[in-house]
Amino acid sequence: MSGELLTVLMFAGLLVGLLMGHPLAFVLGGLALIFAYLGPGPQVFGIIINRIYSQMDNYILIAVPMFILMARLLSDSGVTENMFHALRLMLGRVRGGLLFATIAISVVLAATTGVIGASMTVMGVLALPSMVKYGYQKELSTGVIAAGGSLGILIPPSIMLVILGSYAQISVGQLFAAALGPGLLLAGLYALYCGVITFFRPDLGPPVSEDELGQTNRAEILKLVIKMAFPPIVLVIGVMGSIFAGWATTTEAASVGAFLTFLMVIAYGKFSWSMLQDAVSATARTTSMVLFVIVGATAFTGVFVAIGGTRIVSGYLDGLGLGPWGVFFLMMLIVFILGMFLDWLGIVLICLPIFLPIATANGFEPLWFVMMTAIVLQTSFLTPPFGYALFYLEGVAPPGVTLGHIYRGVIPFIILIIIGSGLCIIFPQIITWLPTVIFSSYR
Amino acid sequence: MGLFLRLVDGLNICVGRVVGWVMIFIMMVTVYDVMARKLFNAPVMWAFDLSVQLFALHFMITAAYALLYNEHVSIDIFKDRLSVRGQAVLDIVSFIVFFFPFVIALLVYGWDFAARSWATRETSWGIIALPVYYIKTVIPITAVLLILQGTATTIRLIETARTGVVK
Repeated sequence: MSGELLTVLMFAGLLVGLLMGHPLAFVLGGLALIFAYLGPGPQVFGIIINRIYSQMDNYILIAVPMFILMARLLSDSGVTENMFHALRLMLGRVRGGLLFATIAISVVLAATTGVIGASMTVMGVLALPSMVKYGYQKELSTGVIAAGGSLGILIPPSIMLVILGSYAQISVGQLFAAALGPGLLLAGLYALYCGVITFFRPDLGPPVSEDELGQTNRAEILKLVIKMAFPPIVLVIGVMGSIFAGWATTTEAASVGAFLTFLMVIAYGKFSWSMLQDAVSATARTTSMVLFVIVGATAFTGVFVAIGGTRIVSGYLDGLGLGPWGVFFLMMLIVFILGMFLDWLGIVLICLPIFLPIATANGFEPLWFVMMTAIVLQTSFLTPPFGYALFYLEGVAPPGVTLGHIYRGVIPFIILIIIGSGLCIIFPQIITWLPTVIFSSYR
Repeated sequence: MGLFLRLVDGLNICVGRVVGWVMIFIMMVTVYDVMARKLFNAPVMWAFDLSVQLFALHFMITAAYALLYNEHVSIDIFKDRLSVRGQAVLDIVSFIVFFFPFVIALLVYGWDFAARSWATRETSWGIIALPVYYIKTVIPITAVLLILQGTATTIRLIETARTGVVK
């Protein structure tokens, strides 16, 4: 069979396998084997085992389970929950305050965890019922939680950035620095949108009533904030700071961060052996899931390269005569569309090995291009029919909040992400400024 | 048959819950290494190689444990529209087309890969030459655990396809 036909069939097989509902890791691996037989011959699997082993022999990726463990320890011990209550009381008096509180807490949670599941569940369980109770519009409430929670994977530290760095051979520290600007930009856009909409339509987000807040005075709130929200924030600034300052590698900083989180949990009096066993087991399951998608994708892209797929795709893109920016927008569009069906992990692992060389060949800078991909990937959590954030939220939503509310609610935020991406194209400094300042090795 | 299912589940739950603690050990080793290096200027030579190897052990060998808990990412929106028996039949087909070929290849080629490493008593390139043949053996072991768990899952699916009852 010709390379062109195999390339097309391999993508078709991927689509079929995914729609059959089989785990992505094994769809990718199975296709690798099938197409190894159809194309270059099964002996290519000898090379592929070698490539899989090189993923096993990867120091950078150890940061992934460490950040997952950190998130698990914080949420299983109830620290995240207390942090939410403290910040909620602080922002309760503002019009639309719960919306701002949600965004602010999402940013903090995003910074402390690096995965979206943890913050999404916490916000869905805690924030959504109180928003519904105070008469916030359901669309707006669910939209804010879904969009805010998804920031967890963009705002550093994040396991997505670790994997992107490991795959694109870019320093994870530089990616962390590059992601801070766009992450805060998106959070700012969300807050701006909520501010504008509640200014014109106060009924969509009324302030929390005085008697609800009356029970706690300002001094008590401040004490609560200092006790519950400060230590995790200081911790994450410490982790990020030590990476940016070049004192520690990402893996080292993540390990020390997980260790300090562990001590913090003990200090809060939340430690128990069963909690730790649960956190350890859940971390093992999540880590293995993420890493096995990497294993499957390694096999898949290995065979894809062997049948000449990357050459064929880039040749086809060149043949369209779109020019560098046309190719760039086409690639971003593909990422966006794939985001409707796949989560970030699959998209990163399948697209990046194909797209990054094309982008570099077209004169785009790798760090900026990878970060643009990361920003566009934010939509993959929110775009129906398949968006992680939507499902998480539906799973924990109180009665009366339907999938319809959630679908309608995320639309403005998807548009805001597209606006944010546009801003990062017009002003690439949003991405590149911080890495330039921090890392002398960059430029 | 019931005994086989219970044994396989039990084995992988046991592996998952025990091997999970390896991550705590890696954390401790790394923290100790960082402290020894920054505070006492005495880096731990084996910390890097050992962490990498233990990490490989951790995520590979718990794959079947994650499979048991249905933790692997998949898209269910279209599958959810089918009847319980239809879903079971579709899942059986997926296991036969995608899962088993991949994990069997992982076993066959992983076995060769590990055997070559054992034959030369291969060591790592790090500062301390740790043996790597143990960790390469993890690939076929992972494959065996996955084949066992996949078989258990498929047996349950066949039961569901026959009776229409989810096990």
